[in-house]
Amino acid sequence: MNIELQINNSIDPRARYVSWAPAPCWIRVTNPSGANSPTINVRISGKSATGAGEVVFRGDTTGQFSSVLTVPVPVTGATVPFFIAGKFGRPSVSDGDVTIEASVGGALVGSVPVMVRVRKNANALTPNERDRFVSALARLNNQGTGRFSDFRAMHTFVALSQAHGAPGFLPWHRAYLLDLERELQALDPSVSLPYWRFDQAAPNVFRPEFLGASDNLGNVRFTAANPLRFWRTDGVPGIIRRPIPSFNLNAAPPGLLTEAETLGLGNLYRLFRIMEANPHGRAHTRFDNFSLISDPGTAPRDPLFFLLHCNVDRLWAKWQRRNGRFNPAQAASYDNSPGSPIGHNLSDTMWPWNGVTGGSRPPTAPGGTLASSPGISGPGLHPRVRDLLDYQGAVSAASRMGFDYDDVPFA
Amino acid sequence: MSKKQKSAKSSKPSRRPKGPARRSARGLMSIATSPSKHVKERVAALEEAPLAVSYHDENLPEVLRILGDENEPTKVRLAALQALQTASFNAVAFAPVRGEYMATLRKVAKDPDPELRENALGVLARRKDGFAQKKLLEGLQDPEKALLPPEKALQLLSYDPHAEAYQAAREIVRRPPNDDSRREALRLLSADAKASPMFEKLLRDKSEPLEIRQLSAAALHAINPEKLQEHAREIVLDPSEQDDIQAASLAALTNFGDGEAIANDKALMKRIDRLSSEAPTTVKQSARQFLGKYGQ
Repeated sequence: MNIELQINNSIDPRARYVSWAPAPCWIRVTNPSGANSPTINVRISGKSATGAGEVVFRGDTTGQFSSVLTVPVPVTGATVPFFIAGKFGRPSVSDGDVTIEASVGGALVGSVPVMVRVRKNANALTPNERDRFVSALARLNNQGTGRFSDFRAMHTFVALSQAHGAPGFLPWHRAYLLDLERELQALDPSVSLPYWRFDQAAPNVFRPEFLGASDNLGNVRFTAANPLRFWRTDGVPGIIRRPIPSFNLNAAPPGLLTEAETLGLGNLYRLFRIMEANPHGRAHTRFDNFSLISDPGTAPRDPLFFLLHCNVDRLWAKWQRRNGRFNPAQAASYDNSPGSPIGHNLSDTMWPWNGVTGGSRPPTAPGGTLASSPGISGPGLHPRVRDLLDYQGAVSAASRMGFDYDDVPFA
Repeated sequence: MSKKQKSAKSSKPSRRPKGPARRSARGLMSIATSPSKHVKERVAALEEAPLAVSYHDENLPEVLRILGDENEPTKVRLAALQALQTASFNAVAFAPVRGEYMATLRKVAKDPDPELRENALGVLARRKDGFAQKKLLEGLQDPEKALLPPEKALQLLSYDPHAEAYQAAREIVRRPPNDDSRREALRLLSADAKASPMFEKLLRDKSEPLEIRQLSAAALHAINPEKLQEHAREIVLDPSEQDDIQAASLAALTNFGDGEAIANDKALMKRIDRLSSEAPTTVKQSARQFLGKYGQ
């Protein structure tokens, strides 16, 4: 007897990644030999080594998760749905470090490797996680002319009005990060974006093995083996970044709202979104004024940008969970007051993924549609602002975007 | 005592409130703009002021004034610059003052204070400002006119490499005033496709400092990647090469190499297999990453 398990309702191995949000799965009998009834009871469980990821299961869209699920499966080959989620607090450390096993009467009849892939604190990555991330990023950029150059071109002075200074700041950057993350995952599916938790000390982030250490002049230095030493943007090699004198890398940068303060800005989106100034803007400018990261037109040329914004997005995710703000139909979830620029209203499409140029939009739209992810439907190729709120699929399962944060559970 | 120091009151700064219940924007701006307040207090108020959090910010012109006012203490002006940079992330609110911001920075670029000059020129050069580029180039050609040390000027000019800057950089490579200037001149030239032969030579010259050889590898990756791959292969095969150059070469092959050609290169695979067990740690780790990718 053989059983097939489809993760994210897909037979594509690239879809074998789960997070805290429930992933829809199918199970079916592909070889019924040995079965003596029209339906067999299949026991589904996860097998993990010590320190590896763990998964939990449930049979329906609601109800409690458990470590083992028994599902009656017809021998006709018809599919039966069930759900898998990563066990909160137990993310994977490497690709496929959890095996989903299907057994009948104690005999193993099918298995598939999966990864509990979530965004983690950059300061706490394992060396392997760190190296996989920098390698994927370096390859995406390549000679400064790779796919990464589109991401650089999306966040320039001429495009700032699409992304900054208005309510769409958080949704736009969520889409931007997700687009980049999916491109990285196309190179190495085990990679997820790490976040720089800028209200805590993060000395590991600023080491030569990772995002580099700044010398006195502000040139960022890397180890010989770090492929970011070949980093190049706008035809210019290297990264220029130097912490301001009061920013000791063994402590949090000065002057930023803490996580608690940020989450306490208010339970309405229009109050919360002022975090664009502090901690977001303040985190950018904890580096000297000649640094790439400290100017909105050049900041994405420094890989640190994506870790900084990953934390901004994480703070939004935490705020959303704390206040139940996933539903765009609820006024408190977004600031849809009249007068916002185009691209910042709930039903507006977002540049550049909409391909619209000219008029109130920038003159070019680099990068095409938002990258897709196997087995994941949200937020779509041409997302609107409203499509970026329900990232876990808490309101509508179809909105799930396939990412989660290590310290933000499923809603 | 300087005029700036005199302008600062010597009283102790008051304690900053903690937690989300912060002081009002109006109160903070009142402190920030008051010459009678202590410098530390004014700096703290500027750091805390929530500038540009709405579509319009009436405080921005006053902060700009502080930045441009030579009578204000340097620390307060630097805090004003930092606050303006933070506010500039709000493109909508900042748009009305962007022109004046740039004009003020051009004025500050010539300030007697070197820290202010460096910061102002840094913002301008990063935005490819013609005035800043001209001043930086003039300083390289005539040290008496220099607003910044040559290595810093070259670093800032690298934000927008162009023919005139290349010419000045080549001259400094020929006659460098110091090692840092030579390195920065080479970094600037690594955007120039014509510089490929020079970087090939520097990469293979074992008498060059390690950082120059590594910089040359990065330059070649951008302007002549096939040549870098050729040299990287030869460097890995050369048992007399420095460890860090071998590790950098392995990183280039692992991340940017032609997978098919590399997998069929028996001599290279054999050598890297050996390095993965016998080389010093840095090289060993890079060799293992290489083998992890190419399946040996």
